Amino acid sequence: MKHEPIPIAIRKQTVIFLHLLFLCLSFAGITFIIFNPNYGRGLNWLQEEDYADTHSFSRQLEEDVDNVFRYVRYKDLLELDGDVNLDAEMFCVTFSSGNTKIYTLGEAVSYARRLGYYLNDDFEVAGGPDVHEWDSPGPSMPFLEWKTYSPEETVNYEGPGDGFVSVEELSVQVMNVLGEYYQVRYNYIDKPSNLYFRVSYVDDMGNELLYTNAGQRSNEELRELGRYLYMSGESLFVDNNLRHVPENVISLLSTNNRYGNQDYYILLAVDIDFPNPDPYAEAQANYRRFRTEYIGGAIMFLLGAAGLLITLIQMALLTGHTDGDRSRIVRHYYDELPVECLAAACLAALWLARLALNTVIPRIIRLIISSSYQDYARKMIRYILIYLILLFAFLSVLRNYKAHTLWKGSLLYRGLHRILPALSGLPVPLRFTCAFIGYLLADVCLLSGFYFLYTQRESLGIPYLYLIPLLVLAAFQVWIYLLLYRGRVENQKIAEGIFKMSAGDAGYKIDSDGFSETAERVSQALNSLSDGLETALSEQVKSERLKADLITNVSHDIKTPLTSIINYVDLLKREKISDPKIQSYLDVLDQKSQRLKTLTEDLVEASKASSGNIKLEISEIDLVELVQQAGGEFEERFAIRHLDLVSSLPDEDVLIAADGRRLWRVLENLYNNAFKYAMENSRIYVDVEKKDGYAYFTIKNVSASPLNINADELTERFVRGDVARTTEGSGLGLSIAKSLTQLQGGSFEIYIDGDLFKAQVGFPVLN
Amino acid sequence: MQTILVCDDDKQIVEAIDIYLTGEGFRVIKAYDGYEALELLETNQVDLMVVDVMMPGLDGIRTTLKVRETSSIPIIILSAKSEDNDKILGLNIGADDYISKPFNPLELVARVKSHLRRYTQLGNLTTQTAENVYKCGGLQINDDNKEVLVDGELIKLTPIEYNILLLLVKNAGKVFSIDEIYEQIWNEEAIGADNTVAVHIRHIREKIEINPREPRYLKVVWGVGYKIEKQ
Repeated sequence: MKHEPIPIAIRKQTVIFLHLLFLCLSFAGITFIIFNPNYGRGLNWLQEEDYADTHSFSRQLEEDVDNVFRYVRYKDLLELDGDVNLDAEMFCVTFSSGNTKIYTLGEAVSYARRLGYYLNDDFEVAGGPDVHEWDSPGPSMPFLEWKTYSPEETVNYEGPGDGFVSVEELSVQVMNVLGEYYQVRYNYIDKPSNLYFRVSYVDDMGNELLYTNAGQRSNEELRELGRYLYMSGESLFVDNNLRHVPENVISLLSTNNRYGNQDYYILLAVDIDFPNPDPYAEAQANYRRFRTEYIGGAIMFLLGAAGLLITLIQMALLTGHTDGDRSRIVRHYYDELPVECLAAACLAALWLARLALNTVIPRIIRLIISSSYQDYARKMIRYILIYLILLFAFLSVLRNYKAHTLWKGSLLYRGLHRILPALSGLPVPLRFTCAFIGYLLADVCLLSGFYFLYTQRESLGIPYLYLIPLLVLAAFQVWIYLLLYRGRVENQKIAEGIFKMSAGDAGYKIDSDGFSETAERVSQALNSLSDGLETALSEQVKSERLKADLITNVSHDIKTPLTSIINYVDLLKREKISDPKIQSYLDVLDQKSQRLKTLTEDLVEASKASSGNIKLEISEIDLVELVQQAGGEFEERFAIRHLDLVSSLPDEDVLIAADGRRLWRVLENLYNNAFKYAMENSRIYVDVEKKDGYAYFTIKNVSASPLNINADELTERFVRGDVARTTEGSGLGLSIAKSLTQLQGGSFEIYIDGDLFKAQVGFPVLN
Repeated sequence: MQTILVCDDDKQIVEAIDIYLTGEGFRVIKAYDGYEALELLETNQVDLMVVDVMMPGLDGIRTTLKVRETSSIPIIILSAKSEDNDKILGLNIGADDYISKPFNPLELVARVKSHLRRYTQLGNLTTQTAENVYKCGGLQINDDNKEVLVDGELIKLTPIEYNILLLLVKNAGKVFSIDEIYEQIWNEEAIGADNTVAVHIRHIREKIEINPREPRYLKVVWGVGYKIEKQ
């Protein structure tokens, strides 16, 4: 089943919608993270899965330690047998009349009540009269003799007015103390709490004073509830399993010891199952919620960022395209603007956004959002605006890029196109100089632009604007570098091509991929040159081959009648003709017909060898072995002409890569040459030697007739040492030998020194 | 009397071959193209055929192929082409020998005789497989009485030549270098051995081969050594 492709317009809209959605998602994620109380603590805290390990737990504990010691302080004062003792003496004042009065708790509280004070739900003092006693200061104020709830205050009076205080104030203080006492009692003792404490002092009589909310539970049981802290007066060591020890516990423990002994201890324990509703349970619940929110926010942000990236890529791919022809790029009317104008418009939009952010937007924000979030909202809106403006510009640039109008539509290009044609008429050196001066000018302009913007950065207000000319400068340098680099590479490639061609690689083609216009033209010209060369060479090879074929065919046609001639001359000779004249004629016929035979055979071989029309069977052979074999073949023939074969061969093998049979043909021709042309009763020297990685076979003999001929000419076809050509032989032997040697990759040289003939065949030695 | 069919489009060549072979006591029947040769083969008892390659009508190669469908008589191909490829092609399609033009008449006669001997005496030779008899195609060495036979003809060799040949025939197909042969035969280390071995080899070839330049049995592997072709 084939699906109809979704129209591009719908895809575009979907992608844009999704992009905005992901934008919101990631900002929402960021919001969650930023407004989490744990923001700014990095990510490590997320690993602290247990509330009891957190800092906020420690803070709570520290606060509780304060409360516990407050209770320790007030309990003996306010309590009698577990109940509030209303008769407990609180303070004593002397009135201006001279009367001294001791206020009990009940009296102080009812005094305060009469004035309208009361304790609210949180055990804090509230209410009070409209006119306070201390509003009319003066000698009417009583003098404070002592107070039991903070005895240290009354020890030293320094100033003249010190010590005079209204009963109202003191009663409120008492009420406060009572409130604090109630608070601790209510939160930790009357109400079930997750915190258990036990503070023990021993008084001067040796009685143990115990302050606890743990009831009958033993210290060990308390420790097992989870987190605990134990410290005694005898030890400096704090026995605990907390992550952070509350700092106040040590000083509070010793300052609350009213007795001069060390027999005291404190045990704090927190039930980490938090079964009772109290600040711990609440804080733990909050902690878990914040943690979830933080992680959720992070995931939202990551998802949003990934989605943003994907949809951005999608947008980049889709933008400018429509249904149908992929290569047609649709540009919006504003895309027609040169890229410089777009950049300017973009900057203007950014400036406008900034203006709006400073004026209108904060007012709107203040209307909608509570003050603690206003700053953040302003920042968010700012980033979103900047992002959207840049996105818009990016897509416009991308469309122009796709339509290949980015560079061609730019003001710079248009300007250059006005100037460059005028310049192209100038001679090359002048043009080059102009280009260089232009380069310098552009650099200077950009640098001064940077300098201007940098020095004016405060007054312009757009941050980092001065980076733009700097970036353009960098891009410009990179562009110039790439131009020079390309030119260098082109030169290198062209030079390489020319060298290759001149070295004989006629088929070499310069790969002009990515070349500039000029270099492309040069390399194409060179390539067509190499084409011509290649054709010429292959034509030459072809004509050589045709020539060889012709010679082969002609020689075949000669061979058939030659067979008859040879056979019938032989038959004639068998007729036992006694006439010596006829006998000698027959000998001539016999000799010449045999010569014709070798001539045709050599002719075929020579043409094949020189045209390379021979299939070689290259293998590893031993040159010494070959020379010995050749010696065996020729020794007795040489003896016929009284030629002495003197060979000097190395003891070890000399391995070379060659076609054994063809190389034998080379040696055979050389030996035959020596056999035919060497002076009778002379010696023929044959030797093999290794030199500079080459193996050389050399044969030397003294010619019977003067060698008034150039060495090079000897290897030409049909050239023989004796110009008169009286001796037998086709005159092709040396030519064949040379061609065959060269075909196998060897060297073949002939030296003539007076009557001394020397031929040398060389092959690279195999290791 | 053995009958030989000679087939060539060049009448003079056929005539000359006729003279040589008749002189050696063979009966010769003549054909001038492939079809004629095939007809004559059907009507006559022929022991050996000499056929030219390049003929109008049915050429030598196709004639050989046709003959091989029914007969196993020795066939010698004559050809003006002397390149290796042509020889290999001729031998591959079933010819027994290949002689390039222009040929030496004596060589032709020798080859004809050799093939006939081998063909007719093949039965005798195979029955005599004794323990110390080494055979390689038409070459046979009897180590008991130190006899060397080529196509049934006794060859006289010197003791060293005999030993070299025996070594090579015993290890038919293996290539021996000059040094190896020297060490095996003379039982001495070959230091600076001269041309002795090579000369002996050449003598052996002259004795056992019809054309020593193109040996059938004792081949020269140039630059490596010598070997007896495994057949």
